[in-house]
Amino acid sequence: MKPASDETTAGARRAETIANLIIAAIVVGVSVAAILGTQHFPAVRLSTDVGPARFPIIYSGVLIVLSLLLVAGTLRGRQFSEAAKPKGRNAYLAVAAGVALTLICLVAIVYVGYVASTIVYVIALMVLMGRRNLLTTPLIAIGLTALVYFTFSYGLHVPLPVGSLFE
Amino acid sequence: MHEIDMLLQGFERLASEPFALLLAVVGVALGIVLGALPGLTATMGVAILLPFTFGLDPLSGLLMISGVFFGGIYGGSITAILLKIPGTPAAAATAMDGFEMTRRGQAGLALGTATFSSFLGGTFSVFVLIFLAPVLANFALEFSASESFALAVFGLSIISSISGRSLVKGLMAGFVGLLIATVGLDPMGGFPRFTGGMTELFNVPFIPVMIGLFAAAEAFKSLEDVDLRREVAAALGRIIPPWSLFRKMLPTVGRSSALGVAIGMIPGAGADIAAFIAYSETKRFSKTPETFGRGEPSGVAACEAGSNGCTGGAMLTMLTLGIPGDAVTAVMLGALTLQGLQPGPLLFQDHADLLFTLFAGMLVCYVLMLVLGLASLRFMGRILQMPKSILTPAILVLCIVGTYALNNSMFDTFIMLAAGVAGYFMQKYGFPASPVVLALIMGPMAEANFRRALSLSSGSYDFLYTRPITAGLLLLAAMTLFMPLLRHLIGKRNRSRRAALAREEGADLDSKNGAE
Amino acid sequence: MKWTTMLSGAVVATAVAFAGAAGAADYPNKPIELVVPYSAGGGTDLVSRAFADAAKAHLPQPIGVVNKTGGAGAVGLSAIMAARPNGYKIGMGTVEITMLPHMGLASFTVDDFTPIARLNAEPSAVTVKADAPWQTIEEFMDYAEANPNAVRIGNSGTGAIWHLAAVALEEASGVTFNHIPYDGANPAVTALLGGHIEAVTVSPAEVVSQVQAGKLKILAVMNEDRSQTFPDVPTLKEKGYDVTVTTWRGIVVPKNTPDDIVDELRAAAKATADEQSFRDTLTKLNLTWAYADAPDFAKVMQKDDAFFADMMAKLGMSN
Repeated sequence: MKPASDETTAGARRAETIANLIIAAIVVGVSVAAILGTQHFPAVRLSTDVGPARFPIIYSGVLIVLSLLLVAGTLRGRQFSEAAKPKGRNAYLAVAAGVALTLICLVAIVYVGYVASTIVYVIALMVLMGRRNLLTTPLIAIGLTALVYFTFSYGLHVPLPVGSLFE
Repeated sequence: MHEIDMLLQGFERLASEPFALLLAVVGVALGIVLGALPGLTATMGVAILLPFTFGLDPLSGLLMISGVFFGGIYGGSITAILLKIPGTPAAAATAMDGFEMTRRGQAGLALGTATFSSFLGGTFSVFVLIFLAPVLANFALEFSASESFALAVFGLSIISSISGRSLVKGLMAGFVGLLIATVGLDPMGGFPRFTGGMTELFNVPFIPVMIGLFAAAEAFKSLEDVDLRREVAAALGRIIPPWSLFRKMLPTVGRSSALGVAIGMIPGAGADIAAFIAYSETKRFSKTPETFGRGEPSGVAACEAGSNGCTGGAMLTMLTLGIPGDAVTAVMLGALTLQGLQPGPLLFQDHADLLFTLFAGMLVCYVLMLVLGLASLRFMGRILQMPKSILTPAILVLCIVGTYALNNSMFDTFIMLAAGVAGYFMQKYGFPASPVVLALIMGPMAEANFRRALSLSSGSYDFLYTRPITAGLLLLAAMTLFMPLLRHLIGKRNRSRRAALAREEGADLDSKNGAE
Repeated sequence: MKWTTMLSGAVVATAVAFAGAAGAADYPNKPIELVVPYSAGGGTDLVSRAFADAAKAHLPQPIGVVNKTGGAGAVGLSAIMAARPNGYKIGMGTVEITMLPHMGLASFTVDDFTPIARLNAEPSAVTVKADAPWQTIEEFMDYAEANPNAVRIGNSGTGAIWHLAAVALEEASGVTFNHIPYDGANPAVTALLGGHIEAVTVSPAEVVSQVQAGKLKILAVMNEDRSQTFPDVPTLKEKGYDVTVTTWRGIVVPKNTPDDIVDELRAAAKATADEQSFRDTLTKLNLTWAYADAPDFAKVMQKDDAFFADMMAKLGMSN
């Protein structure tokens, strides 16, 4: 560890501390919700069965204990991974944009089908990743879409969605 | 020996059937492609080919189907190693060390190791099938619900050895997976749990979650590195592992293949379980367990030998008992009966000629797999030379289309995206993804079989310790689970003792050098 | 670079392909999708693929099989129900059409489907190990009556057809079994072979190879008539238990499909079902050919629907 990186390392550690606490809180929340959800499950149908609720309750219980262990470990200054490297704000924006584009693409496939949505999606991703040539970018996008389309539709007999608007 | 003569005759007959051999090549090649693509499985390939085999003679049809089966299991490793897209659940295990090797510029070596180990594991399993089938035929019948439950628990205990740096985070990932695995129809009563009334959630969307956690998460992560976007992914490096390295891996390959055959014989357990168990056992026997998860070639070898070892085991149960252990052998069973062969105890007596020709053909299929695999690796490796700004969109499109193709369902693709986002954050904060996948495989198996065993014994818990295989596996599970913990505690005591010594001895040294 | 050439080649190919796809004429003028609610390789899938293969000669367009699995069949059957009633998305309907609605697991009812033709039907059969102490169904039932809950019967899942078969036998005879659900019929048969359970109530087709090998024996079938494969095995009806439980598979389309399309499909299905190659394929797969035209098929569906509504209510499974 070089002194120069001390500050960023400290930043990463702080970020991970917060992340660990948030994740533990989410997991506890989900576990509690799951336990509450099992209350509506029907009672045991077979006399020799433990019922549908038993296993989810056990898993949720263990998860709550593990989350508390994580919180304790984090507060005592353990539980740091090497993986977390500090990243600029732009990096997160790019990832968020990628996720948003994927979501839009999936919704678009439902309505306008695979071909149109995917071409636009691939172009958008390539622009996002810095490939902004007006000619090659759309060409590569169309080529990629077509390659996948033919492999699946004709080679493997998996018809890809045409979109509910055109069905 | 009788079997050797029969096998040699089988090879002779095979040599006079060039058409069957050609179909075997087609089958293996198709299988590799299907296995490599996410969401497409060998089962699907076999089912697509089935009507085509209606018109073929039994040998050609069965050889082609075997080729797809073998190639499909091997093919999953290629994309898992190069791109961290596990084409099959078994390849999720391979990806753990395989993709790390790619990251370190040893992609070629990882692929070569995977190819050789797949070949050796598969060939070994076919030999077991040829020589020991009658002896081992009844092994599958020993496995009742309680044994399957114990096997699942043993499988789950592996989470502790694939947790990476933090055991707590690994266990959390595993138990979240187990909780997700309870979504869907309750295995005993058929009651829908946590589905919110959506029929799509009646079964756990296992493959979409896996594709999301591994491939989509990795693709999202590569959007992060602003300055690396134009760079190519990684170098391929040499493909054939040096003999010195490979010799060291031979015990691993042997042990993993044997494990694979045994697990393949058990109904309801398949290549995915075999790959994870082989990995964990290899780590247990390794002198350097800390290198696993960071690009250890034996990790890749274990997974591939284990999953391919399953093929012979699964066929053994199917051919001797007429019972398919998994979906692929179920389709093969259909193919066999379609050809007028009734699998089951009589098959080895009534159709020995055809059967041994088929066995010879299976060995040929594995040789073909080795040849085709090695020949295609250079070409496949070109993927890595694509700029990331093209590769990343391509991976995401494949994730979407592959997930969709699995079940012709857009619903699954949304699950995949959600898993991808979750996987991105998990990776960022040191939560490993493979325990989730393992839990999704083993969770339903553990719960269903525990409750089934309880019903079988009329509500008594005695089955946990009165049945030897069950008790043995549960004991092994406990050892696997607590070993790292124990090792960790011992290590900590040693470290603190050493640290205490160091403090006494080096107190003044520290003040001179400054704290590091 | 190679990959750019490859991709641009593909571009041209797509352009050509899309230019070709247009226009409309008489039905069918494009491939028909056959939705199968179960996974590739299962019995339903095999029937569908054999049908699609044999139908080539009787329809101007090919039939493509699309597996849409999940939810014990609910996902695929819902997709068939929700498809546009234009004849291009048809389905392989199964007995679950008449079962799932009564379990609260489905958004459809039997009336959401228009039957085209039944292709296959399999009865339930009581099968035990060959070395079991019971030689006849009477001995088996006497033992079950004397030892309530001791006879463990494996089925293919709670609420699935073979579970209800065993329950129907309980209802008709007054005995109680210990029902053990498995993940499909094959694992149940494996458990029976291993001696972990006493009997299964799956179809004769699913145990035929073990019966022929002398490992298992069938005590009775739950059908109107004896099985052609096992003419020596009595029906339960002959033995005084009024139980007939059969599963069936057949082509269905969403309701509101225009009559001319339904008629077209009926004619094609009849011609396909009569094709010798289709019958041979089913026989080789140990499946029973059981063609029934739309009116008869509709009767079977309505009868089963009433029967299972009653059974589910008795079982307390209507969620």
